[in-house]
Amino acid sequence: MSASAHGTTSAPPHESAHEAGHGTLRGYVTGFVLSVILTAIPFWLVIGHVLDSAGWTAAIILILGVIQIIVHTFYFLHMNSKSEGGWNMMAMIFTVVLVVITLSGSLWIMYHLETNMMPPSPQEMRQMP
Amino acid sequence: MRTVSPNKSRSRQRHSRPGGALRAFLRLFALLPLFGLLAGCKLVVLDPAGDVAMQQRDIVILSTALMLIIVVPVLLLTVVFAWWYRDSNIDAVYDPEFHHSTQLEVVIWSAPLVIIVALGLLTWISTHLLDPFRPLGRVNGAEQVAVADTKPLRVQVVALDWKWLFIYPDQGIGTVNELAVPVNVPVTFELTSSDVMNSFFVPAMAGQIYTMPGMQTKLHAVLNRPGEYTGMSSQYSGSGFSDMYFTTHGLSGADFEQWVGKVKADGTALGRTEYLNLAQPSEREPVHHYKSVDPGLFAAVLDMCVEDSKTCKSDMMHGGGRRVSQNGRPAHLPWAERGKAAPNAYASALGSGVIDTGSAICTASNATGVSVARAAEPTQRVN
Amino acid sequence: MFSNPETQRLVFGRLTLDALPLDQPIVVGTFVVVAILGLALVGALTYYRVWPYLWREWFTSVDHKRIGVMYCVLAIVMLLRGFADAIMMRSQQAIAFGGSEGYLPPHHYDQIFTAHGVIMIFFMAMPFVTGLMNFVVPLQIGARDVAFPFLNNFSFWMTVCGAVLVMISLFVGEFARTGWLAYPPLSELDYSPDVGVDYYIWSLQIAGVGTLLSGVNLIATIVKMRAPGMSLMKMPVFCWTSLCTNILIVAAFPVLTGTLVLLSLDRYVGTNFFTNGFGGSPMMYWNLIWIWGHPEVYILILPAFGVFSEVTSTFCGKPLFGYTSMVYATVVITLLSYLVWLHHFFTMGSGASVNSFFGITTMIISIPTGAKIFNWLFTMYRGRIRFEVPMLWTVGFMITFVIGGMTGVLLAVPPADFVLHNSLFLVAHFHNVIIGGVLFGMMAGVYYWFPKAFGFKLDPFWGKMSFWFWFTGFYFAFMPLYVLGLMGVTRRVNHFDDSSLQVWFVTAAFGALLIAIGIFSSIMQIVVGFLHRDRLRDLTGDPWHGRTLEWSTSSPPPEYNFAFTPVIHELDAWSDMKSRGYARPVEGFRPIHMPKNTAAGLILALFAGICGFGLIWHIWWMAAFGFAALIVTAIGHTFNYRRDFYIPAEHVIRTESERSQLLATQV
Repeated sequence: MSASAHGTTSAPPHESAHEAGHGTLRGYVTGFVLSVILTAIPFWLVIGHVLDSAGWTAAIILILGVIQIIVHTFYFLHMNSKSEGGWNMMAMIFTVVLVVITLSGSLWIMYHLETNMMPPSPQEMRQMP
Repeated sequence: MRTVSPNKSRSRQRHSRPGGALRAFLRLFALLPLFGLLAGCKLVVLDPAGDVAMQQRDIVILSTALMLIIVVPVLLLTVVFAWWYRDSNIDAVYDPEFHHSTQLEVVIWSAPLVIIVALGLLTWISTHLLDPFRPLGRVNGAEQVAVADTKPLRVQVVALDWKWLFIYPDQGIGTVNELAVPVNVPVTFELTSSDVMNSFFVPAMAGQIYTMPGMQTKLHAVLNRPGEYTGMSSQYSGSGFSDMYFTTHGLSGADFEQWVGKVKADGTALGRTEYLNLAQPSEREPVHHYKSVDPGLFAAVLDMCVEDSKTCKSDMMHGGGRRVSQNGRPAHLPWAERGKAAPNAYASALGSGVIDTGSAICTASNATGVSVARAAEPTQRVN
Repeated sequence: MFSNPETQRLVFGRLTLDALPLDQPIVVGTFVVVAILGLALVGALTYYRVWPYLWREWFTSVDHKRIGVMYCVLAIVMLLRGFADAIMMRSQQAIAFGGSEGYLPPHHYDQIFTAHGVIMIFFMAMPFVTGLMNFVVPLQIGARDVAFPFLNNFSFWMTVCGAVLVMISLFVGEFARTGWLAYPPLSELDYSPDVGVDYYIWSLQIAGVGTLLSGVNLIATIVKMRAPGMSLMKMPVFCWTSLCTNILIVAAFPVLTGTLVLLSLDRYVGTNFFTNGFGGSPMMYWNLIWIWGHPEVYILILPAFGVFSEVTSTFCGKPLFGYTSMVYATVVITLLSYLVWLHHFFTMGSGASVNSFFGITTMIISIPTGAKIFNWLFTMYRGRIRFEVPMLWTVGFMITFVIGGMTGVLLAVPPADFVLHNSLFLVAHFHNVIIGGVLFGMMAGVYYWFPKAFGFKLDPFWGKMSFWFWFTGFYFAFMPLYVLGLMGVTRRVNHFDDSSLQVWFVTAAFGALLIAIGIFSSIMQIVVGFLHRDRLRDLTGDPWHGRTLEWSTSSPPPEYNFAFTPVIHELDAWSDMKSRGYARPVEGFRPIHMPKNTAAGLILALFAGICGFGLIWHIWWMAAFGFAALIVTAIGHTFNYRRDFYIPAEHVIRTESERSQLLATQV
């Protein structure tokens, strides 16, 4: 497989182009603490019935979830712009862009479809001749 | 810059006859007589009878013309280059260093861009004007008949397996597989389907719109010429799909009234029971006339609860049976409340007075939460 | 079989003898023919003792060249099956007029059009492009194989397994009757309670795993394994299109997998993702499946674009015009293809702003595509064009694809789509671009790279016959369909009342006949080429005066491709090497590290197929067994540490010096 001029199957060379990123104890602890906080807040919001609006609660939970994904990616998966010669970051950005397009496109489309398709409400229907 | 090349690559016998691509183009000319056949056939999309379809036809022609501005030169260049630069043509310049030209690139990217900008503008404007959900702004482009003068006709459409039900709520009649509209009167279609997706399409009148179960789509159209036109479903829906045609009659005002009278005279009544019979899968359904249609029937079809035992979709969407509101918003029902009965709005309207259980949730007696209605749904389809 | 129905269900699920279509003479006849031919083939292979060779050199091979060829063989076999479906549809539609029902009842016809679409897209076009990319890309970048050779083998067998399931559906049970995308509500249990949609789901899921892994494999290969000096902007255009194709695969196929999982949950467990009631939304299925579906068609066309770039520059004797612009155009197409999916369901009624947005993005894609066409044109300009067979396919493509692209942009205008959607105009459009683009590209690619793979060229006479019959056949078969669409005729209809349409359908059937001759000629070019292989032998490894690295190897290349990884200085590396007076190395050969063959891929795919078959027929013990065996084998295989070996230096020395001697006789 690696028949090119680069290394064989021994320990990964520590050239910057191949560095996948290392964890430090500090990094892992920071990531862990942040994750716990970001998890505890949604639970608190729901169990404590903190907000009146279910919509706002859901929105905050989603936002915190996205933040936690980013925390995991940087602290646990060691994403940085150097690893794999920048390819890791490129792949990450690409994935994020695609997911954003898919989600926002779908939400926009489905919202419009549902709005256009919504049958008249029961009251309106009963009033029809 | 002529490059003298070794004899080896100039030998004729290793390569195809010159002008291979030219022959391709000439062969296409052999197809031209076929276009004579076009004169005799009904290209309904290019010669429709309804104002909306006419505007759509204009879009088709205009868009094609815009694109041909680029496409025709490209096709010509392809043939010309392929023939002129064939290797047996010693007059042609051979310039292997010519593989970049900024000027040419600018033209290559910007010429199509200009066309696409024009096409994009055309798209934006026409899509908004010809949105099926948008009421008509004009009735007849040629005669400039304004919409305000005429009262629109409402037609409710239900796509069944495998026929079309048309209900005229203002006239109180219904038909199967026969649509009649008065000429130069805007028609508002409200469409749904009984169980699978179909697509309501009368090419002579307007573009198509999907019909979907539990949902209502809308189409605004008008016919400008009397006559008989074909209507169909253009979304495959099962084995009887190929017979799902209906005739659309464009009638003058007086003829239309006559037609309504005829339907009232020789039609039968369409109530829930008759509808449920009609909804059974059948192919090649003959035309039916209904002199009266239950007023709540279309709403019940739309809400997917024509049968008494079914939960209406709107009730299901609003919390499984009981719509309780606090401060104008749906409130959370405690679990125990949800199994309680709630009146089926349409059953009441239709006068049957049956209480709907509205249960899609697990209860003690229905541990898996399977709705009673689902078990009663017909699963057999005629093949 | 069992007297107790409970036991019957336990052992056989819902599989009964009724699943055999003994009442359908066409299917029975097909089975008889297939059985006879199959037995003859197996018998011949056994008699000539070819099985050990096949097993050792092909089935268990992890060599990208072998796997690429096998993918193409699968594609050609499935082309025959898919085309048989096409001929049946054309003939049915040509005769079913004025009261005549034709010879295909709706029950059968509806399976045929569904199977035709599924087979042509998933088991003909996808394996074809995957096969070409697999064969060519490592050679073009100076690598010895792809990044994950075992995974490559596994991907291939998973695709085969999917194809086998579809083929089995012809004789055991039936296939889906929903169209090739299996839209709900029609594909839900209520309206398709039989096994058809389940065959569809599991064959696509299994093949989809193979495709996805293949995408990962090729991205890693292109990103990580290019020869030193080959920066991305010095990579052949075919590698660029392959990179973008595989990025699309990785981005899009998970959506297909997920959507089919949701549909299978609806069908197996009673969830309500896409059902009519209980909160389900069939519209969501359309949305999701087309988020996959549109990138899919770009996955098919981009490799074809790559082939045409290689072929044009080679046979015009010039570097490709506007390399940078070609690369950017490819990348822009890749990105934009993700922003257009709604144009497949304009008529669902999402409103004017959504419709016009997606219509405009669809049109924008035509700008980079047009740029590519112009770049090919200007490669021909001031070139010296040799009309070998691949160049014929290329010129045919340029004419045909432009027309198809034009009708595509027309359909991208929503008001135009409202009158043309789901009509035969649409059918003509997508066949126009798929046949004119993808298929012509595959035909060109096969003819172009065949000598590299097998050491001899294909027969040029039959090659030209193949082109001309495909080209004219295409126009006779599909131009009438444009006309029919403008006459308001819709698709998937199995009989007609209006006899004035018949002449068009008969013309289309005639076109299909011409294409059949084209397919026959394509096969003949291989057969006759083989019979005359000594006369058509490629001894130099560079029969077309190529420009890219693969032509620096022998035909066929040694297992290890390159004895020494080349060092690259310029774009069109082989041209560059030739112009610098490249001298082959004659000493210093070392042992070469290579991966071993393995049967694991085949076995894993076999178990996946068993699991799939069990799931389809509700034979739960079989599904559980297949799945468990799959997991056990996969885990067990991870303990196989003996996956590699070294080709001894003596072997390399011998191979290379033989080649040097051969080359010396050719000068």
